[in-house]
Amino acid sequence: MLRAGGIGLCLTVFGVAGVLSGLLLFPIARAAPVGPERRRDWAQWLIHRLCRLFVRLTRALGLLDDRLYAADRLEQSGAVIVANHPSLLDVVLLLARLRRVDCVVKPNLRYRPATAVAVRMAGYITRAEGPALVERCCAALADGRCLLIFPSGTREAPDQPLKFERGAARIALHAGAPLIPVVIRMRPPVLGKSQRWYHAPASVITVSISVDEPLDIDDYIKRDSRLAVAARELTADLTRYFNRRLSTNVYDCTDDRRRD
Amino acid sequence: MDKDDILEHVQAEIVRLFDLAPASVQPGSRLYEDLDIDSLDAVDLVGELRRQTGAALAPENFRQVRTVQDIVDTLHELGVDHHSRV
Repeated sequence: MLRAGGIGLCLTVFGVAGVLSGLLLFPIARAAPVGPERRRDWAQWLIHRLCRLFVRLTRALGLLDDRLYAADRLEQSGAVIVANHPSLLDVVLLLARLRRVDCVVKPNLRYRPATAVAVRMAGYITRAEGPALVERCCAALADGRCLLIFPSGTREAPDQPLKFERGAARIALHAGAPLIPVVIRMRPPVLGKSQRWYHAPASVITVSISVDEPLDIDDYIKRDSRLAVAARELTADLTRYFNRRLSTNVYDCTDDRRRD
Repeated sequence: MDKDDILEHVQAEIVRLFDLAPASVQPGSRLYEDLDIDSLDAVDLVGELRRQTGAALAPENFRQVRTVQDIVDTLHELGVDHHSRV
């Protein structure tokens, strides 16, 4: 009961902060006489701070036990960060750590009241852009910016093998950018695709986020110059990699256990 | 260039571009469900077919395309010139 209340409180704070920033802070930033790049960076910073506030609050209330491994790998510039996506919470946890990142999002987030202002101002890239999507992503990478892509395309069903789309692999191959796998495990599953936000978990939410070694992209380009074929192979390997990593225990992180 | 020629050409091109087994690419094969050709692959395919056939094929023509036969029909309607074939 208390826990349900705590989750409710956190979500309320998050919702209110989100709406208030949509109503106040983002419009102020929009009106400010600065270039679009500067404004985008402000918006991304603001999103980062809001997510961090939410994470700290949830932690402080004893609702969340999250661990982040080898987070310094995220400092690399011009990388494609790919993560599995079990919950809404994983996005918030990642953005709480990433101050500047271009997310690739579902097109409808540009129109949803809760996300429209933030998504547009932060210059997030929508998936519907087709070939222009690859060009935009490659331009961002060439600029030294990082991309955050969830190759499942949407939140995944719990305990099912993942099935990745090939966009992330294509972009990484096209740009020759490092591909950094981020493996997220969560128990119990909360804020999943088929769950309502008020379905409070019966225990502390434990999340482990492991930033793994970047994959060697050059290897795939050398093997086959046809991008479509290379993207198929890379995506197949990436999917296998995630499924294997996710089948192991929650805290069984093979590499360094540095916690953020 | 009649429809059979076009079909043969499209099949060969799909096999070459995406490294698929020739037997799997049939007129009734659905591009996405059966051949796992996504929207970015389709852009490659459109580009190749346009380059090789000279047909004024645009990604918009591909909106309604579901199967291999649909591509053949689209190319046929656009009037692919036999001599422009590589």
